[in-house]
Amino acid sequence: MAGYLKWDELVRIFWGKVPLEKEIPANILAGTTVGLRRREIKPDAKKVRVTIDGQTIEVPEGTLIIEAAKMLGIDIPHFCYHPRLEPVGVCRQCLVEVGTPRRNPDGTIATDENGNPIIQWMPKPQPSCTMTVSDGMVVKVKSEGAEAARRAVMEFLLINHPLDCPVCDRGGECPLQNAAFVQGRPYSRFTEQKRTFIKPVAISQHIALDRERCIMCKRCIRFCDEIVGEKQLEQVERGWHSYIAVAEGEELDNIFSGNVIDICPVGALTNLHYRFAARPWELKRTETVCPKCSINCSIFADCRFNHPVRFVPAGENLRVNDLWMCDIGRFEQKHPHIEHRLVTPLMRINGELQEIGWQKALDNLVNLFSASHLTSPAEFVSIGNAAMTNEEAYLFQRFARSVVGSGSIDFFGRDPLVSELVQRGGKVGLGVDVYALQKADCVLLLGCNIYRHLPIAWLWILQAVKKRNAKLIVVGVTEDKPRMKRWAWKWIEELGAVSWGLDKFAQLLADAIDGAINEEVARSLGVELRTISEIADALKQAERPVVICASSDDPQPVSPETVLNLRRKLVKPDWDAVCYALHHANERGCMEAGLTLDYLPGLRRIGDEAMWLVLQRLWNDGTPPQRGYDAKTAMQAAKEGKLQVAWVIDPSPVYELPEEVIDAFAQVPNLIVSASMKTKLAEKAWLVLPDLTFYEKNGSYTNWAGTVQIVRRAFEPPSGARSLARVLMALSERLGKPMSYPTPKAVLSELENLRALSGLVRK
Amino acid sequence: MSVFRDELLKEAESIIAQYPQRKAAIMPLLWLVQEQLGYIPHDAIVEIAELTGTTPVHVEAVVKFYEMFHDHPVGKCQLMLCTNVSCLLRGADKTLQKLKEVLGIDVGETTPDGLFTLEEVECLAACDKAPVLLVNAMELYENVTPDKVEQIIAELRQRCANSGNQNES
Repeated sequence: MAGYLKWDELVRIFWGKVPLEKEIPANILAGTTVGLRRREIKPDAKKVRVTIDGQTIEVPEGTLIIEAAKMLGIDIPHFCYHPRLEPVGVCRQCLVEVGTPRRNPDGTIATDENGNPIIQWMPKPQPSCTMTVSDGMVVKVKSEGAEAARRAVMEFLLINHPLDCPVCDRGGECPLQNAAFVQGRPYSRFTEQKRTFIKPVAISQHIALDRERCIMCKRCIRFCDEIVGEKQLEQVERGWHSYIAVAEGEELDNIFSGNVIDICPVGALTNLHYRFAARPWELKRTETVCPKCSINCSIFADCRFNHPVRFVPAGENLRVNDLWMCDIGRFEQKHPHIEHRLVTPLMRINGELQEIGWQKALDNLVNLFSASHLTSPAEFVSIGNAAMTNEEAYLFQRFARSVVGSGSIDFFGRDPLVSELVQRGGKVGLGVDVYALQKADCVLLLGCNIYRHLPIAWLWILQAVKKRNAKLIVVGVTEDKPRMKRWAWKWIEELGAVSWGLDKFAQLLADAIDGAINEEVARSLGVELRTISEIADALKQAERPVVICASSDDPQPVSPETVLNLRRKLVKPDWDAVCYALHHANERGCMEAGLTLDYLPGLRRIGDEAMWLVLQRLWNDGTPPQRGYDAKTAMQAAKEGKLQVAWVIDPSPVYELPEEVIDAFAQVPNLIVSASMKTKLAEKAWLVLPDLTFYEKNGSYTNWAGTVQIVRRAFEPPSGARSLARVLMALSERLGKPMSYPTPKAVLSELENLRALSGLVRK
Repeated sequence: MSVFRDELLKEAESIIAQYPQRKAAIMPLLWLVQEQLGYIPHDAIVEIAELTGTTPVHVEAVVKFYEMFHDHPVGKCQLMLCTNVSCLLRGADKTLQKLKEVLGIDVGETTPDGLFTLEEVECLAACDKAPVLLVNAMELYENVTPDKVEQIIAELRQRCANSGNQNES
């Protein structure tokens, strides 16, 4: 079977660390040690030998001294150097002594009487972050001269720094504090008055700037300019008066602005939402993923007193987000306070929701589900949401299909167009890693504003445009125009007033790739023929084309047929990036876990008999149930009063259900709602089961590109709230058809096997 | 565009055309605005950013970097007194005190009649004749001891008044 993986391999891929070298070809992203600059080094780059503090290493030509030292495990203190930014050498903290071998007039290396090369030392210490290595170079990091130079620099840096560490948010995790502790003086010789500023200044609604603490490393300026491509920060004034500022009347409002807080080596840029919220050593740090969009960035959820206080990128994730995350995930995640949480099941008795406790709640559920009539599709629907973990989704559909025997399964956030695409033989999402998007050479965005909805995908596409001169074509996007348009090679904002205009345009383009342009359609869309043929040629010639199409959550969608058509023409054996934009966190995971009406786990059709044989073995049961309702038809049935029992999982606080859904399901007499707090839907329920919030769950998420990442519990849930998986397993046991899995990992491995069986695991 | 229009816009375009990169025209355009208006208003900064294909904050940083550019209205005569080491040793602090008294303003302020702006600057490279006073970035007064201040101010006031008359006539 295509793509079948052995068990060991599966475990290694999903539970072990995947070796980097296998994922990203060395010629594209060089740098072998964590924390090194990822930039292009030619595969045939000459190797040079450099000796640092007595240790010799061979590195490619063009490597910086500071990087070569890092490979040897020697840390040179630095502030302005950052592995992802171009070196500038402004802080001077990384000074080292550098010597090169003396050469004879004929170019050979001069040697002394013992045959050792004679080293000529540079008269002054050199910044190791801007100087590249050369063959035979000798570097002293821990010598007296180099250390004296660095100590002097540190003293200069501290002259105007307020040293208010006890009240600074950065205190405890501050590179300047650490460096000062290691090599600074225990007392200050500076008795004059320090330079002062008004502080703090809010440079956006999320970020505060404290200009006194700033050491002018320019990391924030360079980040905005080099990575985000929007020069919004600058150093103004001169000499010791200089400070960082945004333009008068403007804000630092790009969508990646929060990253400047992380890369600031002092406490000059701080998070306004985290201001004075905690000290770093009080935080419990958990690596998990961000549930705000389908990119699923690796993040650290930093919690204090069982409440998340901030979210920061979790170091280097070279399949998804590298070191960055967007402001939506960083600043716009809300977590309910413990007071607002549900801690015991509620049941509607005499028209009022009353606390009944888990025992009674389960009893009532058992009574309800043991009634045989529930197997008729009209009776019972189970509807999850796209914020559920893969494990919950898998268990939820198994519960419905095998324990209750109902085929009415769906989740809120599922895109009907994506389902249709799959039905026609397409794929759910991106076929390459999100991080690999920066290798693209021609990118077509059809009606989807990924700047807002898939920010990290935009970031990588922008890198492709900036660094590899990829051609960017944006069609039918009106929001965020000033940010996107300047990078676009072709920008087509408005198409003629035709229904499904965007789709017609895409279809036109698909035909144009084959060399046939329908002039009439082009005229009705108001697009020049030349433009279309140029775009088509660019896509045709591209080795790694990317086409991201608007789905039904966007203002104007592209039809599945067209997506498929484009994909057929543009897909390459090792590059498959023609797909719909998914808008919800685990939309792909829920689809692949089988939480849909028409698909079994592994995206097998519901009528796939071979799959049912496998499932019957796995589940000890499972006769294919009748086809039932999906979310949309279930809403209709509920409004018409045809639905008796519905089990709905409320996705808040990750996202809110629309009013119409709440109104429709309020009509169901026996409405079971799993919710973490008393949401609008929960208030309409017959039975409310306290659920866990995202940050209390253990499990996994599958992102837009199919990368499976682990979701970890960041803090203990309130006693009384139970995970959905636990409730489902307890119920199934009471109903005589036990589903038992010792850990979420056991669920995932079963699901992974099923996905692998269907060729969904990408090697 | 409110600042760059008609003639000025044409001139700006011709200045930009002289350089291989539009960005290189930032400084000449700033001079152009300052010649016309006496200072560089924020609107002009935004417009120059647009004309040169960069961001307002970048142009603002250039304006603030150079002392010679003014981002707020200044007097007809800008008095820049050096208070660097050489001048200070020769009594620049006393000269500054005297200037403040005579003009009735503090450093960085403009007299109510809009004639004088007083500024403190770094070395003007004429240490052998310290203390020195630079007027309108053009004219250098040397050995400015406190007793010379009143005379210099009177002279400048006279000249400003004359030049004002000339403009009117």
